[in-house]
Amino acid sequence: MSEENFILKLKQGDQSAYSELLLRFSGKAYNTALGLLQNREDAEDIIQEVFIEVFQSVSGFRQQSKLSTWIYRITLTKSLELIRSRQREKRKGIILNLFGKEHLINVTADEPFYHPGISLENKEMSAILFNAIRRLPLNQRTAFTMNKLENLSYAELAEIMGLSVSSVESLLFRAKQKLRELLGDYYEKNIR
Amino acid sequence: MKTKEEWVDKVMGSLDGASRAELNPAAKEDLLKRIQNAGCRMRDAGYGMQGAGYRIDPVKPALAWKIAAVILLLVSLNVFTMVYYHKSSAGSINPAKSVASEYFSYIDHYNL
Repeated sequence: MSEENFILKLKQGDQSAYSELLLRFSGKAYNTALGLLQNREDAEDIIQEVFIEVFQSVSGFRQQSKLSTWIYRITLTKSLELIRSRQREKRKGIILNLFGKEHLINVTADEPFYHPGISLENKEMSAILFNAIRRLPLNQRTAFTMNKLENLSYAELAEIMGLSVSSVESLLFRAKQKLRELLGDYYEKNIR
Repeated sequence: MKTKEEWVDKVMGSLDGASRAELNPAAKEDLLKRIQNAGCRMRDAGYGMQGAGYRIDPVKPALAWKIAAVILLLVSLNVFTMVYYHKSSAGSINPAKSVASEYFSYIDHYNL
């Protein structure tokens, strides 16, 4: 089935088309959300929101981009919204701490994240890498995670993130540089 | 013994060849049911199309706050202007006359 026909069936509310949609795209969306959020429960919640959004908005989808690009974009937006709200909670926690209101804080410490798709021999090292990724600025984190976990090209990333290819190249370069720096510090403190 | 650079290289490469994580089948099933139910509700509510289609997007909270802030600013400016004007014209015998004299002051300028 061509993408145009598939989108037409989705717009018509064809139930079998929705099953097909989940079959084709839930893996991509989930893997993206999981890589960004580094938490299975959060990623599953986000995927629910993503596909409800797709269902509700597909009638307005103008096919100016591929369906996968659109779904990636929604996933990215919702994942980043959640990350930002968690960061706001953390900042609030720091302020409450300053005023001796620690009992009002509900922030859990960063736990190591083990991606289910990583081989056993790389699990520990990947957990260290994911921890370092958390410390990147959001745009670098997005570019690096999606490039590594979804094997998206610079052009695909540029389309999803709404940036030029050169901006994506720059983001990835800076992300890798920053990660190497963070990992170097980690090595000095924990391994050496 | 690994040098720091070798160790960093190894960690940077730890995601290479990672397979895609998949949503568990129960979560997928649950999601499909939610979409199907949402489709039924839209049909029952008489939206016409079988599934996808109409919805009213609520205003995002951030936008609502911005609009409220702008309205508050406009109201405050108006109140401030009224209070300021009231104070500055408090000494004059006839506030209406002072407004009229200011408004029609161009007549004097053009010697009409």
